[in-house]
Amino acid sequence: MPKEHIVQAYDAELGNLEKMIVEMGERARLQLDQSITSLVEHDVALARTVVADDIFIDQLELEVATRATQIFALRQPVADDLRSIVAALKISSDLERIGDHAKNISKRTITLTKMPLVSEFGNSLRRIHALVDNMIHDVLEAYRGRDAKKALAVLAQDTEVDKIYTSLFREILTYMMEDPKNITALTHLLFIAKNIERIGDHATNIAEQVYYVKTGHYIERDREKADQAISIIIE
Amino acid sequence: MVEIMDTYIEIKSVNVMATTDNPTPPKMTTKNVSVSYDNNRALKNVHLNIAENRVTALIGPSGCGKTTYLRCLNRMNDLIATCKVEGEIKLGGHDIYARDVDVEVLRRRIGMVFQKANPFPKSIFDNVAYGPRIHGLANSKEELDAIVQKSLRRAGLLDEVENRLNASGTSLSGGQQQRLCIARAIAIEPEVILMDEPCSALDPIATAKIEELINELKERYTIVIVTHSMQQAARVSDYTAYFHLGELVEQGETNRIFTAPKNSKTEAYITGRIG
Repeated sequence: MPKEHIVQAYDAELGNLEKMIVEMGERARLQLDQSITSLVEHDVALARTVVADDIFIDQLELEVATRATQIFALRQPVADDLRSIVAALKISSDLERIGDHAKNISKRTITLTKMPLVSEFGNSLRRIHALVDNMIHDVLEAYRGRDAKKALAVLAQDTEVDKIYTSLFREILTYMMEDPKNITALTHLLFIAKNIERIGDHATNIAEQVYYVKTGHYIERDREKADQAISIIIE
Repeated sequence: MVEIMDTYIEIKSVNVMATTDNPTPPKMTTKNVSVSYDNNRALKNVHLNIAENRVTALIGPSGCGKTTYLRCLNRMNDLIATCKVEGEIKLGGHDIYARDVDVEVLRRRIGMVFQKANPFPKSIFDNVAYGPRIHGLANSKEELDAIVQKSLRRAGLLDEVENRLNASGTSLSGGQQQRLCIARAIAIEPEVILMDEPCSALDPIATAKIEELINELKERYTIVIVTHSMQQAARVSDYTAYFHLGELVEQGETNRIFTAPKNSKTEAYITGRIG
């Protein structure tokens, strides 16, 4: 099938939409990366930058929505074009949420630096971040290449993220019980872990959209989640 | 004590638009239909069922064979000396090209509306009464009046012309003329209505009225429409068939064709990527 539309301006519009999504994705990834760095390295200045820069992702989301609406009105997209525009709308809101989570991590980081250090969790946080970062990287590649196989592989990665989150949850609870003085800081840390875990979920949502764009089918998953933290009881 | 259950993710793919394409019983069936003009093949081995009480849209670029196919359905191609039709076309299970078929009777069962509204140069009343008269469908003036009224009502035209049934059909606007032609077509109670680009000369308002009418008419009739407007096909039809270079490339539920076509040629055409 020829890739180009007869009306070349249409291609340019679709191309722009894709570029904006990729830019949002890269920015969200960077935001997350900086939020984790600021956390484990106690870099308040960097944390403040993350909080301030979130607005750029928000603006891009609005821009995607505006452009997509215009294409609907002016081009009456169908078939794969239609699917890719619907997906762009949904993906942009997932990316915007990823940005929000990174911002939230940084806000908590600013608070955490005023409290006793909780450096024991550095490695676990770096590990779960590396996994989630890889998911975002892969899902953006899958999006750019309209690669359904790669999108499915991203879904599979989320299981590992959920497992690490569950063990972090358990670990944090244990520390809380050891010394109640740390509960405030650990609670912030728990939320941070949850933020990262949610980012993984957003990456899987994006993967599902990529799969839909490519195949015209939605994936139905038996959502037996690996995140078992919800059922953990420590006595 | 910490308990963590074993976990798994099972991934399977579902088509939310999953449908068995063409589940409605067919009113017409066509098998292996080929058409040639002077040995030039215009249509190649078309297999297509026309679902009863549904709208089937035929789309494709100019010269793809969609109008040729439409014209096979009520033997309009018989009128062209160089045209040869092969294959099997059945209406209600009976071969319409069989020797014993009376073409006039066939065309009473399968009416047609053309691209350009072509009312007779007669009154509005006579335009609609023409068919019932020649087919002897009314036994009295009252019966004929009733048929004309009913047909104009069903064509959504009665309110606009009730007070001037004796005015010339050609005095109406383009959209009204096209609805008059539809009233004329349905006055003889056909089973199938073929429409060849019925809105191509109409403005958006008149087009919307015809499209609304098509939606109402499908309760009683089976409709096949040829259209160059993909948006129109998407709006009015239940099933869509895409023709390209004399071949039927893909057919199925309109919902599916316009969201997730299976064939890359269909996708290229409906998305505007064909040169």
